[in-house]
Amino acid sequence: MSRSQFIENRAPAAWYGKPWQAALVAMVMAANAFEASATEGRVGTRGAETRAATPVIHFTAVELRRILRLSPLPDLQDDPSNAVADDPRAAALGERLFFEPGLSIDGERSCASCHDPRLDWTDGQRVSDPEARFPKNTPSLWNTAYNRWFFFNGRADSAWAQALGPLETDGEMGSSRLRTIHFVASDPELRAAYVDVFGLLPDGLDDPARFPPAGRPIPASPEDPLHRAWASMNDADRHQANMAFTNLGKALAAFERRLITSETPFDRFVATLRDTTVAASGGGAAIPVTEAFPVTAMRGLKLFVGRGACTLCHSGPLLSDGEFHDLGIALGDGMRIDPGRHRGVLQVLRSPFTRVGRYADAVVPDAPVFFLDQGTHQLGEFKTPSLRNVAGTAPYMHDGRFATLEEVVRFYSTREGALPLGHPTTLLQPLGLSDEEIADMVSFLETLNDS
Amino acid sequence: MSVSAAWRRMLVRALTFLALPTAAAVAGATGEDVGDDAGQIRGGLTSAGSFYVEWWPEPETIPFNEMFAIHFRVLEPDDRETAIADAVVTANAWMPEHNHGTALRPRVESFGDGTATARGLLLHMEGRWQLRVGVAVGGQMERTTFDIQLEP
Repeated sequence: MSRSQFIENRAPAAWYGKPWQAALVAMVMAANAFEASATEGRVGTRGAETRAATPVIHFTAVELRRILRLSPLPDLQDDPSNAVADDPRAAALGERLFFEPGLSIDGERSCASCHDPRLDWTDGQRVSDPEARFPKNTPSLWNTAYNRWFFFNGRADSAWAQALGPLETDGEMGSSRLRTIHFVASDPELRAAYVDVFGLLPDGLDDPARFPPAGRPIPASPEDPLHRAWASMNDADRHQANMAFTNLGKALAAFERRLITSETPFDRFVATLRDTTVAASGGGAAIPVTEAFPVTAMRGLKLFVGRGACTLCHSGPLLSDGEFHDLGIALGDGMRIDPGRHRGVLQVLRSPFTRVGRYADAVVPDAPVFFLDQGTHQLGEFKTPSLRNVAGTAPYMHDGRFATLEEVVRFYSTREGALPLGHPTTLLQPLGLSDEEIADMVSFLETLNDS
Repeated sequence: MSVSAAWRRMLVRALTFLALPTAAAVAGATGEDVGDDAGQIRGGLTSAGSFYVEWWPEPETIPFNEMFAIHFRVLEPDDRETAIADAVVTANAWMPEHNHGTALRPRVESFGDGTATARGLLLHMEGRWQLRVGVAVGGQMERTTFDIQLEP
């Protein structure tokens, strides 16, 4: 029987979409029939004539369940804190703002300067601002709307609050909320788009005595002219300014909410797995290698969900738990320890711009920030990054210390250079991978790209 | 708390003291555990056997890396039916192999009728977790733990 006949008889292509998927389904069925001869974690071959050239890799039931949880991306949940999150007019305004250099203090930098769409919404640099107290690598904006926390230390709990941060950060856009609002008001197109989405700009905005041309709160520097300008305003006008400022953040979030990765080779592989009897059986299975999901990637996947224990943190459809972990890499340049999540928790708890604050359009009573508290274990913790499109977002880690994926995997293999962890754990141990296994892991990670 | 209830509790505590090594060996914790299937109520005695704690999650199956709540009922240990009205419950979760707790701090509300609800629980990693429950009645506080295996 030829392979095409086999597929036609056992698994019509119409059931499973593309022909290669149908082929995979058929091969899974065949491979499982001979599962007893499979060798865990190694490529095996079959003795039967029709299956002789089909290498397989055996996955345990637990590994298969882990794989199935990694795909597909679910539908986005509503964000009650942003009433315009799914408003196309807000997204259009947000896109305009995203690429607008006039929002920066020097008129030369926009959000896109660091989040370049040609670089998977990163800047390709090790860190965005080497002069910052705790320099950070620029995270990609892919799938950002799925996040529970934002920034590597989670100092924002919504995409709209995140978008406000760089606007007022020296070394990034370095502007102020008052300057930003005045800029929008002075640009006829932006002003019209703003009014269309949010209604009127703050009453009295044209009066510089009430709304100085620039100003923002800087409690640590009360003599800073920007802080003094902000402090000179009355409470009602400050509230109006904050409302307008957060509206701009909500427009930016509406644009960023559309930056969703598309289907990857890994997603197609999982979809086929899900369609087969393998997933339904609840047991382990020997999975045949295909051209679309090569043997190196399959071996890497086996490591990822098995001995590598990567899914302890890189779990779920984003391949990230969205939470924070200490890998022993908080010590940065100049022997300075980045407090990471510890500082982020303090910042988000002090921020007026949260999903339970007065600038949320609807307060979510069970928003995670409501249950957030500081703890010593948070020192040196950083957010688990998503691995979707990871091959395009080098360099890696919160401080961009690794230039390639191979370096990242090698770090987990040896843990060379890692500091002792804040909380001793039996789970994070050197993996002791061979060069071939490191290459396999990288091969798997490359199947997470949608390009 | 009635006098008879206090006497019953003392008796149960004495019996529990004698039986504790066996119970701990069986349950791996301070009290027994009556099932862990989704939708079932689990329960066990506290450390000195003065209280019996029942709990069940909402939703019925504890979700992976999503927030959930746990409802508690604190009962007299002998009949395991009579609620201890003035019980105050505290609760959190701990991951022994990773030596850390939850990313969020759950808030527990005790309702004054022996029931309580913890909200804001979130187990973000697969593996073995311990639900740690404290019960305070008057000046007396005891605790117990329940294993939760969060599978992929």
